[in-house]
Amino acid sequence: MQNKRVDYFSTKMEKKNPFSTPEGYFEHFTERLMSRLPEEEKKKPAIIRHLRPLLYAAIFTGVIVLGATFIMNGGTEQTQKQMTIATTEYNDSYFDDAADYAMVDNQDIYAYLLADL
Amino acid sequence: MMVRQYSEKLYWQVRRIVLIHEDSDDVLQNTFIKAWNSLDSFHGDSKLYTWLTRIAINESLDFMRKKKVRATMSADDADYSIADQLQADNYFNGDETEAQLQEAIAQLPEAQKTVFMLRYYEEMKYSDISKITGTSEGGLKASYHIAVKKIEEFFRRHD
Repeated sequence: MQNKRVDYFSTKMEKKNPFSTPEGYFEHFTERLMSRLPEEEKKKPAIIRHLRPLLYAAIFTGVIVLGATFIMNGGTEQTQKQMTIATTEYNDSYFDDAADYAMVDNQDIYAYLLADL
Repeated sequence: MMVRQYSEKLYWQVRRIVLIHEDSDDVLQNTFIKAWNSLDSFHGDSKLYTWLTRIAINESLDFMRKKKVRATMSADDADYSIADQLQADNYFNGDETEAQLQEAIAQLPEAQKTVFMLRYYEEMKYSDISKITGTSEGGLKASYHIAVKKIEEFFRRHD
């Protein structure tokens, strides 16, 4: 029964797409979509995207170096104070970066996804 | 990547509801923006394309509801049928019968319009349509059946 009804349409017309689009519409759609974003939102993701790997590498290196230093120096009071300050600074830095990362909003995410196209 | 992969497929779904290219372009852009702003709500329990289709269709139907409200408040195009408007559209290549079909579809209630387009044009399985619309497969089959009957009746009236 359903096929019979669908055939009713087929007798009147082919199942074809009567709609068209301007030339190059789909090719340029992505860049036009990006142009709708505010300028300041587009700048931020690029900077974060390039610096983030370096920040994480620096954090990781700092933790390793401090840990090794602490172990090698045997943990004198002076060293422990320095470690505490440095660790705190690195921890603060880590938290700042983590907070920045966590506060990256969805527009940053999709700008990041689109930027590699 | 998501935009390039799905923009064309979603565009045609939007276009079949919204009909006009410029309006479809706006709705498609809004669809992707809404999708990115709602990424947190996508839990991966359906295919990404299914999720995007749901957003696209909801945006399209919402656009048409608002357009209908604006049309009732304005005297513009009051005397022109959808078929007439389509045939005057530079981005519509169909003949009079095609234009009438689009008018018949446009007059369907939203639920019937949605299932008809996804089933007839995209030949989508009822199980997939069910995931998009949240309607049972039995309900979808009934809606499709009624939609087809209404379109047939439309053509008989205009023959």
